[in-house]
Amino acid sequence: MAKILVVDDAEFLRVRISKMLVGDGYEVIEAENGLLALNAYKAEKPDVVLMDITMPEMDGLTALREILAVDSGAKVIMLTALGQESVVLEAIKSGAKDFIVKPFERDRVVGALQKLIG
Amino acid sequence: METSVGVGLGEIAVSQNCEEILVAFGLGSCVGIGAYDPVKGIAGLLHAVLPEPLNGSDLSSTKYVGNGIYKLFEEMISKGAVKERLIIRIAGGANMLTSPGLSKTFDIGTRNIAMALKVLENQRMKIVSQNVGGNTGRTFRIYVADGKMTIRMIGEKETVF
Amino acid sequence: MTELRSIFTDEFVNLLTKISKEGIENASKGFAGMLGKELTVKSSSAKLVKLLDIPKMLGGPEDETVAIYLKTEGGIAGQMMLVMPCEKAFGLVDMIMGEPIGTTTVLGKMEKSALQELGNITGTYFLNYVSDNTGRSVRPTPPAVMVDMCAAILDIVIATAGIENEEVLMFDAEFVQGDLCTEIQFWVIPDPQTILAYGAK
Repeated sequence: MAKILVVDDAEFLRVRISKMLVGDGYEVIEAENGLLALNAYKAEKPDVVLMDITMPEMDGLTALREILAVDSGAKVIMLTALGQESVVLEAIKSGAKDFIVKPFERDRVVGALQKLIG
Repeated sequence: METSVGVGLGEIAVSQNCEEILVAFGLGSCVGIGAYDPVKGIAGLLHAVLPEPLNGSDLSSTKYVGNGIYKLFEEMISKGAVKERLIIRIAGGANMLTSPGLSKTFDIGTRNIAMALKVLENQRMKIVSQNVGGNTGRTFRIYVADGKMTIRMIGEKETVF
Repeated sequence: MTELRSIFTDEFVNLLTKISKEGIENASKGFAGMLGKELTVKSSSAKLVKLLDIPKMLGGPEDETVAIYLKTEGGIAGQMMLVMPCEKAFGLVDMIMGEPIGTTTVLGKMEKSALQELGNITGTYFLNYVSDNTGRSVRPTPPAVMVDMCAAILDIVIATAGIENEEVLMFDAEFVQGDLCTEIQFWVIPDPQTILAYGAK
C-alpha cells in the first residue's frame, strides 16, 4: 500500500485530500508546514509527497529542495494555487515531478499519483 | 435622554454634557485613551491609530498616540479640567492577526499600548485601569454624567473597567 | 476620493484599471472554483480612498464581520481581503464543503480553515494574474481568518497602509453568488510606496 505525505497548512484541505486518498486505498500521513513535512519525510519515507507552497515556517518550494537534499529520488508533486509561470518553472527546475493548480480535480491528483507510483 | 457621540479614527471628543456618552466603536489595534475630571465633570476620549509618525508624515495628526494624548489634555484643560485630577483609563491595542503566518508581522496594537504607557508616564499621569491586548475588538464608552468607562466585546455584555 | 488621474499619468491609470479588472476577474474564477458555483463580479474598480473613510465603506462598526486577510510579498507588496457579514460566511462554508445551505451555524476550526483556503485561492489567483502580466514574482502569505466587529478588523488594513499615507489605492469588487443572495467584498490594497515607484515618471 503506497504511502502519501499530504502537506498543507489548511486543515480542511488535508482532511479532504486524506479522505479521497484513503478511499482509494492509499496510506496517508499529514504535515501542516514545510518544516514538519521535512521531518515527516525523514521519519516515514513516503512514496510520494503532495506539497502546498504557501505555508508558515517553511514554504513548499524550500521544503521541496530540503527533501531532495535528503533523498535525491524523492517524488514530490506540487499542489498549490500559486500557478504563476515563474513558480511552475522554479518548482520543476528544483525537482518537482508534477505541478497541480488548485482548486484541483480529483482525477488530476489521482492520475498524477498513479503515474509516479506505477 | 442619552446621546452617543462617536469618536472615529484619529478623533478626539471632549464633553461636559451629562446626557452624552463618548464612544469609540470597535477598537482593534487602535487604542482609546479616556480621561475624566470628576470635579468639573469633563470627559475626553481619544481614538488613536498609530504609535508614532514616520518622516514626512503629518506630525500634528491626532491619529498618533503621543500627539493625540497631548491634544486631548490640551482641549480638556482649555475647558477647565485640571490635569492632576484626571482619571485615566485605556482600552484596545489588540493583535487582530493570530494566524501563524502573520501574527509576528503585525504588532501595531502592542506598540500603541506601549507608546500610550510611555507618554502617560512621561506626563506623570497615572492610569487607573486598562483593558488592552488580546485578540478581540472592543467598543469603549465614557459616560459624561459620572465618568463611568466601559468596554464591550463582540457577543458579550458591556462591562465597567 | 481623489481621481487617480490627478496623481498618475493616463498610461499608468489605464494599467492600474486593467490590472484591477482582469486581476479581480481571475480572482473570482478561483473563488468560484472553490465553491463549485457560478459567480458574478460587480462594481470592480480602481480608486484612491482616504484612509479615514475606509470604515464607512462597510456596515456598522460593531457588525459581526468575517474577513480573510492576506499580505503580499515580492514585486508588489500589499494587502488583500475578502470581507462579509458573519451570517453570509456560514453559507460560504456550506458551499465549500458541499453541504446544504443552513448546515453551518458556528465557525469552528474546520470552518475557518475552509474560509482560509478560500481566501488563499482567491488572493493567489489575483497575484497570479499580476505576476504573469508584469513579469514580477508576487506571492501571498498564509491567510488569517478574523471574526470580530467590523471596525476592529478594518484597523489592520488602515494601520498597515496608513503608516505614511492619508490616501491609498484600492482595487475592489463585489462577488455576487445567486444562491446565497450574498455580496462579498474583495479588496486589494497595494503598498503605496510600491505603486508610487511604478507610477513615477
